[in-house]
Amino acid sequence: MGSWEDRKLKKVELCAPAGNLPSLKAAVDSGADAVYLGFSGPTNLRNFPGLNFVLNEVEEGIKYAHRKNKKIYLTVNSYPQKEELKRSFEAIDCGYQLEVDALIVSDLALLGYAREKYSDLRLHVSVQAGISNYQSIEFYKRNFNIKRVVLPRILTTEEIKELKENTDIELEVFGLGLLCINCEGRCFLSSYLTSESINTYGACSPPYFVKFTETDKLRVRIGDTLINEYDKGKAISYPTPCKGVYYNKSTRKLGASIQDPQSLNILKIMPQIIESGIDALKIEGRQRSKTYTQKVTTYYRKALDRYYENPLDFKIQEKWFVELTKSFEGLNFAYGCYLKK
Amino acid sequence: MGVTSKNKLSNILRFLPQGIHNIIMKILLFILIRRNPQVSLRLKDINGKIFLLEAVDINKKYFLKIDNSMIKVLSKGVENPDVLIKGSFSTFAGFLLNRIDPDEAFFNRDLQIESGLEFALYLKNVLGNLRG
Repeated sequence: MGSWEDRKLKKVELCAPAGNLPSLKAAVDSGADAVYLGFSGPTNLRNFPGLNFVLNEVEEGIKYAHRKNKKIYLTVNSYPQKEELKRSFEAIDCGYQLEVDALIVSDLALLGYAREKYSDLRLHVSVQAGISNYQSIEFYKRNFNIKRVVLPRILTTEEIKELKENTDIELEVFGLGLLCINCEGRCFLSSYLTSESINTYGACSPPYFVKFTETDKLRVRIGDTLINEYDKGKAISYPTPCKGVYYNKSTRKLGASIQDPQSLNILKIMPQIIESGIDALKIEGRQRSKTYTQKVTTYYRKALDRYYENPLDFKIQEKWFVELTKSFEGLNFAYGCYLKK
Repeated sequence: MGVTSKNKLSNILRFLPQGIHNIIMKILLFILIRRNPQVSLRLKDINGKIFLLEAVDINKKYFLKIDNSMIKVLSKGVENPDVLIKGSFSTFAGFLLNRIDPDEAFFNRDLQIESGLEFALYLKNVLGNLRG
């Protein structure tokens, strides 16, 4: 991991999300070191209607970021089947021609295509690949000359430290965003309720399957399945099958049987996360607005800077935490698996 | 804006007839779309859809129709709009002016989407491209 002085020289990179050009510019201006984005359509995992970039917007975004010495990463991280493969190849071609700083990929065919065709293109392996041991990291390094892995949210800081001690590949972890059931790339819950898989379609619970009906209570359905109901006026969480409230046969109770609707926020434990040896910290939320991107990037930038100013006396302002909590898609905050499983 | 001045504005807005509200909304949308031609290009996929934005605090309703890649304000309402969104006037204004995160407003129930979630999300994402 190197000495403190080494780590101070190479600060952790802050990666912010962008689903449109105003968000990209807001992320750059608010202190992100890198911004990750995707093209409109099912080549990446935020395939929501009307969201994401077209070609000329990516071009403008790259120029904007590069003028300010920031990086742009192109996300092509779905698992395309035969009919969609060509579209993902084209996305990679466009990314290379537009000079993105790295490509975030998970599918082996896409990694192979990118590596064979563009030997100088920097490759990051998406969280969707679910890489959680250094043997896998070495496999990707050996076969595709990857430079970074985005780790799934199933590792403790101790386990991340151990990974770092066994590889020279850069490690990126999630700092903020809705927690899912941590089997990235292998989740099929959405398929059961909608017939659309997040891994191929690019969105969990596509919006045309989600229905909100408000009478005495607000009822949320995915397809025909009731997944939750809320009292009037009460805050709600992002409607996904894993956050649904179901009847549990063993406890004979209704409850969040699969997962509580929680949002990850490592702001208060940032020193432990950085000192695990990570190279980059990712903020989730390409589907969110410019206002969100601006807010979360600003507070994460401030916290990172504060850490590097005085790592032994790291303190955040409570206001930063409160403001971030307001923007959650889950109902409360969690540290995920970082401190314990 | 303080609570008192916010209340004063709400009272004025409530007092103004719907017709005046429609004219103001027309002008605001015209300026925003004109300054952001890329938004107009993206609207073509929801051509023909009718959105009802109901500002519950001032008791006003705005019927918007996506017509020929433009957002038109209808002077007369329709019975079954494709999308019904309820919220306060300041939430709608903050959203159009890119000052409020619509997702945050939605999860905190300041915005309620009562029908047509898919198209509501589409419009939200397209308007997210507004650059002021």
